[in-house]
Amino acid sequence: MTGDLLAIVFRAIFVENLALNFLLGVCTYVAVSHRVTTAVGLGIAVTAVQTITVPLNNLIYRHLLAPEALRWAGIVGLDLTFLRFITFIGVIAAGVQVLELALDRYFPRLQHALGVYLPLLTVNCAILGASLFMVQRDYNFSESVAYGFGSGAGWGIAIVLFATIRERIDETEVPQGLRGLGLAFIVTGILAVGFVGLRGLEF
Amino acid sequence: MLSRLISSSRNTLLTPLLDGNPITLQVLGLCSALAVTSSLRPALVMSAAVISVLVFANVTVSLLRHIMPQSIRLIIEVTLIASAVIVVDEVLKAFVPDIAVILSVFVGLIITNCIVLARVESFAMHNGVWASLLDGLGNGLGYAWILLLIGAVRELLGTGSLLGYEVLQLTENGGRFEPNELMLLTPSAFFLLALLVWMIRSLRPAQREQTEQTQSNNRSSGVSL
Amino acid sequence: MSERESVARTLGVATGVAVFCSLFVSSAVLWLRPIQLAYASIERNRAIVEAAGLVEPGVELDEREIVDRFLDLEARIVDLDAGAFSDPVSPTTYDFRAAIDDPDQTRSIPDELDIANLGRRPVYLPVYLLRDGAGIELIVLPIYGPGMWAMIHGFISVRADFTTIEAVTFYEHGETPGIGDRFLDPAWLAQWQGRRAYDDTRRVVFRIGADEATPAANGAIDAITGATVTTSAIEDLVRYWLGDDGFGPFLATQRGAAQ
Repeated sequence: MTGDLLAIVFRAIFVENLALNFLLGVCTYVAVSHRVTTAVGLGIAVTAVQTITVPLNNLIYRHLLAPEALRWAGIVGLDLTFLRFITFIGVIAAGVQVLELALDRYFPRLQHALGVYLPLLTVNCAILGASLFMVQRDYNFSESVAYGFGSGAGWGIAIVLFATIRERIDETEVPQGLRGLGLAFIVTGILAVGFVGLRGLEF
Repeated sequence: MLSRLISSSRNTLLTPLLDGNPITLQVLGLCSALAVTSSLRPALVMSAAVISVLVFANVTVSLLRHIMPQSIRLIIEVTLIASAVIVVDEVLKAFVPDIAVILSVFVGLIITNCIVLARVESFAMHNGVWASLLDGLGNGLGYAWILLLIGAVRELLGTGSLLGYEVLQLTENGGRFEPNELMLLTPSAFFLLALLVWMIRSLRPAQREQTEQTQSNNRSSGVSL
Repeated sequence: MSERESVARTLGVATGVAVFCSLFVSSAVLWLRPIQLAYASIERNRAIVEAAGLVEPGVELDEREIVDRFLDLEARIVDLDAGAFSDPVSPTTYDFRAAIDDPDQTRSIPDELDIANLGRRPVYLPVYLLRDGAGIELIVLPIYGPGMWAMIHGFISVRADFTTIEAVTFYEHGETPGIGDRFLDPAWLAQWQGRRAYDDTRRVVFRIGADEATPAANGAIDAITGATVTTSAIEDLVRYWLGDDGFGPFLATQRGAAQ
């Protein structure tokens, strides 16, 4: 059982990396990767938000939205799966808000460091994407905890890797038109080629 | 007067196609742009979906802009966008189910597509219904042509076909074209987009990025979503 | 506080938007759901008639033609645990796709038999018989199992000797476009025709990709290059459904009865 969960974590980080294999959250990824320190902060924030919102959405989905999920309430033949988009985005927005308040109360220094990025995560496709993948792959609760953590950590690792390279690239002489965005895409592409090599890996 | 109106409408519609393109200039909405472009058909359907959502969100927000209380502005915008996305998703599942399977979660991710929220916040909140409609259409088309171009190149070089019809005859069928499978994998989307950005910025020097210092200052305010 | 920000105004706008959105979304869903369900059942029936060999290769049938040919088949329900037909369950009302997800209609699969990682499976599944006078010419069996991202669903047809595979079709999957989904290539699927599913001792010998255990001479189907996970997922699910916990006992009974 623990082995299965560990496998989900590793798959989510290396084989099914949200940023490099599914290209999710790339807007934030390109925009906030000029400094390694901010990238680390953002990576931690994403991991925290994923670990909270994916399992939360899992509970809501399985007990309220999935086909026949309302059987416990005596309602049969109802399929509310189409409401998942709007529900998940609501849960994510609320989750981010609560996390912000909690950090402010108990870890003000961390809150100060992450403050700018937390609200942005609500509209980060990686966060909503992880919850939607969780539904598609039919994870149960403990699997969704593992997946939430793994997918967040995978995204964090990708942005830190990228920021490390980018800090050096920003110093180099490249053709004018390629500077910035163009080069960022090429570097990400090469990183993604590396991750493609891990495809088909089974744990 | 009339001619000025027409020309401003035309600008609203046409500027986002190249000079203010949401993807290459504003770095918005990349996620879905890249992931669904492994062939042309999904890219086509995805473009139509994004255009519909953009137009719907822009028009409804523009209608509500005078009565919308500031305190719940964002949540109302997101609710309207999410409703539009749900309807688009259901329509796709009913009429093009085979493509809907390929697009899977990426239709849902239009909700978090930065283009939509950015246009709603920066344009529809301050402009009339007609202008907002054109703005949605223009930005949608600016997004679409890049998606379609990348989708077409990837499908052509990756499989030798376009929309499933064989264009370049494959060696295994007696032709001379050997498909490049890298094109079907995600990294190729990054490479193609990089080339495209390079090309556009060489043609339009105004879009080039400044030195690293000013750039990171701009970043924190400009591309925040 | 300006009038625009008053509590009443805020509540009013919020309620208005909520009502509008819920009406918009629910009417769209009510209108579209029947179309989606109809499409799903047509696609499933298309896969069944194709597996039964009622469609000439390369021909696209329209909805009516699919329904017509589907009616040429006789649907029966099989009790997998008993390995025999089960007549009290009606094949016209039993929805096996709903049963798959229903804890009350499934039972768990023992770990050592669960080679396709299904976890649970229904007790009853429909099969479709192509009659040749009184005898059976072909039998179409539903198969499914987890692929790389999502469940793969399909049908496999077995000839009257209940040993040889005639055809296989898939109608639902979530494999990677362009790579994993090459298992839908007609040329690859055509290799399945005439493969032996069982050896003389009734062991499942079906394989995809040759290895030491099954020399290529025995007729292993080519693996799909670059789609290792998908290939082995399909091999596992076919071996499971033809095996002792799947349709194996049922096919053995039929084979005994035919001889």
